[in-house]
Amino acid sequence: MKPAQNSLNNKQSSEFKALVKLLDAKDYKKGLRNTEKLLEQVPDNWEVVSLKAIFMYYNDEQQKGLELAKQAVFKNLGSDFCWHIYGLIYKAQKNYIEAVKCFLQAIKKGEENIQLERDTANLQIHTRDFEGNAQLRHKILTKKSNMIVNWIAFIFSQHLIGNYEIAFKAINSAEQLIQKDQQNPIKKVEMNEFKLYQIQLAIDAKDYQKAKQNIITFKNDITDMVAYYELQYDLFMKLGSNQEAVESAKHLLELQPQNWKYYVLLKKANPQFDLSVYDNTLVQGQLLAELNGDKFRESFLKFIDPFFQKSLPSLFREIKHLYRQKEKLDVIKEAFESYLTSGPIQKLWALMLLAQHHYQIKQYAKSLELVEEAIAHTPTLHELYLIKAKALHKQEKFKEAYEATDRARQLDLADRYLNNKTIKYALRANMVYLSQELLRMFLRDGSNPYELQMIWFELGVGRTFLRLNYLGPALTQFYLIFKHYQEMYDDQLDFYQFSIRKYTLRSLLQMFDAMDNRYSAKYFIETAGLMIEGLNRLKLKLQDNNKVEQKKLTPKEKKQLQKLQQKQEEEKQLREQFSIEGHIYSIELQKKFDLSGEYLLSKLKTEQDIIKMQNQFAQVLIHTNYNNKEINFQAFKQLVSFYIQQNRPLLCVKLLNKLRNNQTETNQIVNHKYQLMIIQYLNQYKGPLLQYIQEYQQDLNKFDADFWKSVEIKSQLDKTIKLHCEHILQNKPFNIQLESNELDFLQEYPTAKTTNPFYTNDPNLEWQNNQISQFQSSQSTQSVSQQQQ
Amino acid sequence: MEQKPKLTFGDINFKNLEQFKVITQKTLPVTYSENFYYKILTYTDFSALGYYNDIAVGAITARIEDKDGKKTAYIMTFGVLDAYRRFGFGTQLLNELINRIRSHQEIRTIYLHMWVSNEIGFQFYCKHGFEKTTYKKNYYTDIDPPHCYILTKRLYPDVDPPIPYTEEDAEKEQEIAQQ
Repeated sequence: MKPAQNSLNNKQSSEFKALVKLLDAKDYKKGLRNTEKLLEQVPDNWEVVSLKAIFMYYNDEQQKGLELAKQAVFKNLGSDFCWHIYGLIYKAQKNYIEAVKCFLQAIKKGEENIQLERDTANLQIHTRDFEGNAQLRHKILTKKSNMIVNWIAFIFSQHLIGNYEIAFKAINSAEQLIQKDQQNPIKKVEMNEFKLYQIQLAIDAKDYQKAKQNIITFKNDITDMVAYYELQYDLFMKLGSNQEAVESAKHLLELQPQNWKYYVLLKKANPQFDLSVYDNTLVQGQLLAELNGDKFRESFLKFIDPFFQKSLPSLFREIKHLYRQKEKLDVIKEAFESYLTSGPIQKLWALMLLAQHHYQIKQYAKSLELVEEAIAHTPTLHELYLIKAKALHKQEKFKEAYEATDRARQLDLADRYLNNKTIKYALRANMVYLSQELLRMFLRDGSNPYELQMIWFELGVGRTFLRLNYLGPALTQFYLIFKHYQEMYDDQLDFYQFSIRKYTLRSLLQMFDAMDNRYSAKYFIETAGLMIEGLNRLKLKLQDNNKVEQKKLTPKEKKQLQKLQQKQEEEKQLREQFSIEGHIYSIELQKKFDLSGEYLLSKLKTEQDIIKMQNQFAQVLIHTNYNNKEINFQAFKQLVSFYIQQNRPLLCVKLLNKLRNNQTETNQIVNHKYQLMIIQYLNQYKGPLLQYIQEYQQDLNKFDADFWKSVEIKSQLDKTIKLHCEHILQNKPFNIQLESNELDFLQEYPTAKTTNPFYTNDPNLEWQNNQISQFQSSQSTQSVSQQQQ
Repeated sequence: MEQKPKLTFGDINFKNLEQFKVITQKTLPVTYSENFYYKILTYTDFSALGYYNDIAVGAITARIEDKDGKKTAYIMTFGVLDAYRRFGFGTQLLNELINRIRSHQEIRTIYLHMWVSNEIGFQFYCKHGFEKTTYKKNYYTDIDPPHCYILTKRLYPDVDPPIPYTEEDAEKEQEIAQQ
């Protein structure tokens, strides 16, 4: 950073320089002190004021610092220094878009600072301002055209804006420079990456002849043959040379014969290709799907026999895909049964496979019976206990399911997979404390799931707390996950700099893709849905409280108030229970991550606050799409009442389409209810933009009647939902909470009050405490015995 | 006919102790304390789990004792899961133990307690060169009849002299000890 020019004498000027050094050294306290001293001499020097602003920012006066920096800029628009400082504050705030604007002003106002230009170009990549990046990269290149990295960054910037011809020309110059640079010869892996990138570039430019030429001439420079043949395949398919694409796919299969993806590519290039020439279990297993009748029976028996002789417990995985074809099920079952009378290990596998078979066709009781028989036969095989746990889970016996997984875990304490499974089942049985203990066994000392961004764990904990209506801790878990996703995006910042130096531009492009779609991930969608639901419950609770407060109290209402206070007392007790036993983490850590949710709740005091945060999640969620309809639906349905309450007709239309796109056999009834809610809202809508809405308006009664004609009501839940639908049609209120997951919840907690979704004590507390003390005693005996050894 | 199934052997350690526990509980009529299982971990040299197709189906544990100044190996537990009997797994486990013991020349005998009613067990041990060396009355407290034999195998019968047969009464010994 260069010093200020105007109105400072020599002494002041060197003091100014010293201040800039303090900023670089991050000595903000001393910096602020000294700046204030200098300001006493030159109160009107806005560049010194700028310095004060950034020192204030770093001394925990963030808002004031930003304001002051802004003021300094407007008082002195021509000062590159002021702009630069202003940008630095924005950058520290991670407001990169504003930071870039400021830095560009600083550059325009004449600051000759190549470091600043590089930083700005980096931020432009981060904000996906590819045009701006290309301009700046050009500027940097013209200044320092002897550096290879500047050429690479320039090529990449031209690639991003589609100026392929310029990129190709620049590649020639870069290649020459690389050849000339004898002192730092390019490494083999770097050359490999650069050449692969050039092929990719030519394909992206649709210059297929050049790509073809590249593929031939670069072959010797390339070491990553998988990437090479993948590009080759891609190119030949684009050229319509399917025969050559087949050859590429064959090369890929030589390298990775167990990768199903490449068989698919092969088939795509030549649908007539007979995959059976590949004699491995993957292909043979997949090909079974294409056979029928006696031919299938014969091939299936031939396929499974080696598994029974060599005993590979992975067989079920290879044939699971066949369960989509109902006519094959009996053949499969009979084939398994035929091994029940062979040797002991054959009998074991037969029992295990039959248990899996019945699980797969949803006969959980039968599955359990078979797996119990298998366990009696061979009690040392941990896979059996996992199958048992899965079936128990489906029967909603969560305690027993936990006990089964824990048994598996104990059989092999070194197995991380079993430990993780046990944690998941512990959380399903509402045991947060125990899950934390189990997790700790596989974490290094001092680390914790929050620093490690263990989203699966946080999501499980959050779900559990939400199930128990323990809202603060639940919301915190979801909020932390949301922050992880933001951090993930921020972490890209370093990768651009790395990639232009190491030529890993193809990976950089892949990362752009992954990051731009980061919210369309299973965990994020689940989290956002649950967060909105949790905030909804918080809102209801708030309304409940307000209702009582606002009125003058009649005796009846006094009673209500008493009840409410009692509930709050219960909640307080629950909180104590969780802060004492619910967390194995230190108080500092609990504070740091706000695990009790106290800080988060303090920001959610009014309905407006809650809606604002719901919107923060809704805005992202509405644009996501994951390839599992069930997961999508569970999240999207949370948006329905939110957008209706917010009176957002266009978003409701978008949501309606999303619900329809994610309809499945499992969710169709619940899905219908939400569609009904939206259509009813749209029917009653009379505001602006009506022409876009009208298309979706329809006769609600007919829509509903048509739907029920085509579905079968099977369960209690289905009946409840149908009742909800009737209430919607009659405009009557109903409790939206009581469906799917929530109904499970009620079955699990028969004593829970159905009318009030809040403050439920877990009736399984005694059992949970037993599990914890068992775990603790086994831990202590183990550690003693280890010490003895 | 397929090949005779073969066992592979692995250590008993605290990570897989539960497997040993399960096998012992399923195969032996005696109930052991938790403490016993953790103690097993101190005798790992002469203990093994037997794996068939990577599944633990049997286990043998033994410790070395001093008997009248001579070293002898004592089999503490030995069992194969029901479903996996008659495949020669017991023989393989026992041979594994004998091989390990043979590398210690100073150990001359292996002995064990066997419940008097265990006919099948007796036939098995006979086949492997064990002899009845003591009839011990009232040895067990929780099974009926409570008597047992001590079976002993001389590892080097060509060199070492035969062992005379004796009778003992555990109850009487205890009474004497109490007096």
